[in-house]
Amino acid sequence: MGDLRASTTTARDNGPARPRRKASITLRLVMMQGIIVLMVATIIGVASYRVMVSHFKVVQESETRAIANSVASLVGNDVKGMGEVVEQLAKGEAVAKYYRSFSPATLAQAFTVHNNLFPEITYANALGEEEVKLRQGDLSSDLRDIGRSESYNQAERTPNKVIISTAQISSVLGQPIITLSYRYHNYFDQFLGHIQASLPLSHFDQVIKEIELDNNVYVVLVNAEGEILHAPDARWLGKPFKTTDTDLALVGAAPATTTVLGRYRLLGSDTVVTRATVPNLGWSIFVAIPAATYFGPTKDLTHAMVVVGLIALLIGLVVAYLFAHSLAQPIKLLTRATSEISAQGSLTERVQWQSADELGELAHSFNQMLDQLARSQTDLLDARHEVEDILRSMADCLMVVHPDATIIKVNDATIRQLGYSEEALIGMPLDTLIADDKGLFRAVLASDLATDDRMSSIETTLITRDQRRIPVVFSRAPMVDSNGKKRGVVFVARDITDRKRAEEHLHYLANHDALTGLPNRLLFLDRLSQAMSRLPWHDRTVALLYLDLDRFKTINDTLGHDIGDLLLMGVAERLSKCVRDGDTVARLGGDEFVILLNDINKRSDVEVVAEKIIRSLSVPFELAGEEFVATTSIGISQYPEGGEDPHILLKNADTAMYRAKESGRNTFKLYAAAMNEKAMEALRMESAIRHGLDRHEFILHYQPQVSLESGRIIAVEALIRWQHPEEGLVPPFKFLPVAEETGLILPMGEQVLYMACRQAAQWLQAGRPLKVAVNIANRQFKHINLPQLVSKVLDETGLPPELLDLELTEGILMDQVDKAIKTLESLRQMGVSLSLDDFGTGYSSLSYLKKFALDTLKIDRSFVMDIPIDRDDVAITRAVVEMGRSLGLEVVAEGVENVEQLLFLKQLGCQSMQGFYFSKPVAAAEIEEMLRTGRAIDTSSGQLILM
Amino acid sequence: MRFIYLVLLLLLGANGVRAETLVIAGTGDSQNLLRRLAPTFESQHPGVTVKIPDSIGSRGGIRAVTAGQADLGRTSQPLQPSEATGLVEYRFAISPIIFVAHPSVERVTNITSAQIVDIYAGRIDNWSQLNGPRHRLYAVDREQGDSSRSVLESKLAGFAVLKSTAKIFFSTPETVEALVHNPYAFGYLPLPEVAQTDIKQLSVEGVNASTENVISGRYPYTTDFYIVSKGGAVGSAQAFINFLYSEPAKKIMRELGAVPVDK
Repeated sequence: MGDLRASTTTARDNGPARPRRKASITLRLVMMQGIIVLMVATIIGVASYRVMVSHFKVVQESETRAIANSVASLVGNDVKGMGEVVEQLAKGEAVAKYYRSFSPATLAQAFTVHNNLFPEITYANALGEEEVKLRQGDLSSDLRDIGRSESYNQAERTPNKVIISTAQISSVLGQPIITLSYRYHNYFDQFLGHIQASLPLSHFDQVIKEIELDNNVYVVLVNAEGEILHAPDARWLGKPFKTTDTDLALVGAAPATTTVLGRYRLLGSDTVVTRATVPNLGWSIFVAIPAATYFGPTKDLTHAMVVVGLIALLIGLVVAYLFAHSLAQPIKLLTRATSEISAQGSLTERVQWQSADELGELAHSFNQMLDQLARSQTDLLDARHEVEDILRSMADCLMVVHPDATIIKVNDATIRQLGYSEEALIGMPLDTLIADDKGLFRAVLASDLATDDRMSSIETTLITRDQRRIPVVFSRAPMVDSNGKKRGVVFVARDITDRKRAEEHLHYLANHDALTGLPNRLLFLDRLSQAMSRLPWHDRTVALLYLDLDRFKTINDTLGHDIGDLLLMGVAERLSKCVRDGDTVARLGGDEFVILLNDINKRSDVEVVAEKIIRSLSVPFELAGEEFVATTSIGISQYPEGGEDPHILLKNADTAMYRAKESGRNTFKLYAAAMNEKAMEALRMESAIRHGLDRHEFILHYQPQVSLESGRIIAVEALIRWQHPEEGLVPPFKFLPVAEETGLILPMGEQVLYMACRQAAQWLQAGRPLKVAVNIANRQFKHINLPQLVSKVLDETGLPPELLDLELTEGILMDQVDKAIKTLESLRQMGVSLSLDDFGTGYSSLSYLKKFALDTLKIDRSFVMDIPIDRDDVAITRAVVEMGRSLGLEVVAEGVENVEQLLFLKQLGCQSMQGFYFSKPVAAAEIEEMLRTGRAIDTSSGQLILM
Repeated sequence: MRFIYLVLLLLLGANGVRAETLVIAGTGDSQNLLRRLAPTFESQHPGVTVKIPDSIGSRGGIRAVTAGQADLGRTSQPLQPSEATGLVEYRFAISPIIFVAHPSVERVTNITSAQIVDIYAGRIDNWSQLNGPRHRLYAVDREQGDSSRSVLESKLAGFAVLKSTAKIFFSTPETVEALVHNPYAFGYLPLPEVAQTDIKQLSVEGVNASTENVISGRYPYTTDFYIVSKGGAVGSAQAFINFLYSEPAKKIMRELGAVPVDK
């Protein structure tokens, strides 16, 4: 643990260096605030400046437009008024009167009224000749022809309308003027006169003067032709507007609305120009405001804004400093406290600061954190002591191994168990303590450190100081520092000596026979495999001797297992003595032993051993005070003739042993290939039967039983046939023995029962009730619950039990008499009738027969075959018939092939018969045909007839 | 007003002169007719001078008679009940109101009542719309209350309600003047006022204002001419009234297009 502390110190030394303080928080806060204030001030300043400037602009423009509008409407009204004056003159009585009576005096008088306004007024006739002219108050004789003047022609084209001429210099009046003309046509479009009045342009000075314009603001009036009608300086009057130094953009069609055009040099001055249109005249009013006047307020505003902005910035910075200072104070305190703690490691320091803000909370939390740290430190020390205690109390060895494989820490158990002192162990490479492959161990360690794979346990052996070997299982865990780097591996070694011992024992048990101590099948096969695996390199071979004790079962059953066991142990002992050291004697189970002979040179060697064994066992065993002779049958198989695989070799030895048994016991037989063919045929047949059952290839044929009293068919016997898809109809003797042997007779028998019952039920439904007899095989009777099966089949097929007859053989009944009695009884109670088949072939005794609940005896065909010629058979048949009669049983003769047999049997009193004479076994349809045609036997002649 | 002034002067002057003067003031409608009848009467009654002053309108005539400023009044409308007090009226002629065009208007001889309405409503303002010359049509109208206009308002469908766009003249002589002197002018008048001018009469709906048509009623636009006296007319006034029903007077009336009636 001292190391751990040392490493902590190292971490601190290597930690990041304390940053040099470049700028205080106060300065940074002030800068930040300053920037914010500056930005806000700038944004607000710019925004408001823009708003105000645009407001100013709007106000000024609207004022300017208002001026322009009022000038325009003033001029418009004035000109309209003057036009009306001229119009009234033209339409007036004076003109009408002059037109009728040519009295110039009246006209002149009318003209005089307007002398002030118009210095010259003239009346022209329809030809354009002036007839009456008033000039500056006097009738003028300077009458001219104005018929070709533009304004006269225009008035001619549009009479009854005021026509205003372009500007012109009146030579007579000596100043620029415009003229207003009115040509009057009365209702009947009659010309009454043309009045033309001259208006000096100076007139507009008076008009525009009515609007009191500010200093420097002036107005330029321009007519539709672009001539200046009014200007601040009289020298511009009548001049074309475009010849001035004004931007040409100002000239052109008068705009519909009054517009502030912008900044232009107008008539030589830098001005802001606004243009308005005089209503109905197409004249333009240009109001010019000197640029200095126009933009003055905006400039003042700009200055004011800059000053206010700077003041605001200054105030902002001062406030920022004060604010930053108040924020930074507690941070300084915290910084100082932290520095002191890190410098001195003392956790008793506390920050003295209280405020209601986050900084107050920070100071409080900091103090709490210190409390917490102090507590954690104590807890850590406690935990460390606890760990030490736990390690000390551990029974398992604990070793911390450095990546260089040296031990850096051990616990007490390690010291105790290995016998080294702690000092000796620290620094010792761990692999010097390991008995196994040291290179492998180092590789494991390297892999542990390199990968994050889960570390599995390793079983190995530790060597103690006094060279004792302790089997252990190492569990490992990486030691990871706080950076996730592996600093080593913790090894915990558990002593597994006891477990190892138990494992070895288990292994022994698993491989040996508990009774005899001989290797068991497992170990034997293992050794056999090993022996065979060596064969390719030797010119020798191996042989197996498979043997079992003859009649061992009898000994076991009659004398008890203890004696049997003693015998087996004795046999084992003798067998072991019969073989060489390198050979193996194993017990496979029961009374079966097998011997592996290694390094066999020739077959005779094996036979020598076999004979030796037989001889050895022929010496009687003395068991429990009695002598026993154990004979054995030995099967021998030899590599490679007897098989090239351990299992086949063993199996063939087994086969050979059965041949030995078959050929008389207490002998040996060498395995030959032919031995297996019979078994193979049986296997093929078994497989074919299974398929046949699955595919329902088995069918039933029925042989009628005929009453010798009525001559009619009274029952049928169901007989199985195999309709093989490839081999055609397979005779029963070929498959039934295999079916019996393999147990397939059980499913087959069940199928037969179902088929027979189903057929009989069909006949019953068709109105031809016919009893069906079904043969029951030995195994069926023995291994299944026959009554239960029968009951189920009857239920499912709906066949009444009295229409079912079960045929059993003597052998079945005699095998287990008591059970047979019970079974027959329960079948009988169900209502099923029972027949004893093949009667006479076995050794049934009359006493047994009486015990069985039978209904019918069937005389075997072997007896019937030779009657009435063979006297013995006749005697037996007669006896059977009589016995049946005395027991109240019906007797059926089987295998009746001719009329002589039939008549003889009838004569004997046999009630019914079946056989080729009447019909061979046929398909169900043919039975129906017989019933339909009424096939029968004439009971007196024995001839076949149709009834 | 100056006409009344003139009448007063004449009346004052009559006191000092032996010769008797018969003043008949009133409507302009029958002004021309009476002026043409007066010489015949004067020749039958030497010493009696018949003065037919310029029109002061039917109403003016009634007021002048009532006030004793005129011996007889000439009207073209029957007396209203309010006016009838002490006055006696004598219907002496039926005058057709005719539609006329200035002689400068060629090809147009007939006009329909619908066309008349269209002309005064301003919908027809060119003679070409009446198959006449391509020239502007100058419609001449009379003021509201004029007897000719009243006849049209009551008998010409649509005339009463139209808003006239035509030039309105306020007396029959002025109307005659306007129609006679202004080419392409169109208007309406009592026939006797223009009977012997070269103004062009237009038939209406194919019916002209012949005596027969007036009597039969086929020409519907007619006005009655009356002479009004204060109480029973006596002396020369009585003689003048009787004269109006005499054959020589009737002959003159017929010549001027009016239809004389019996007393």
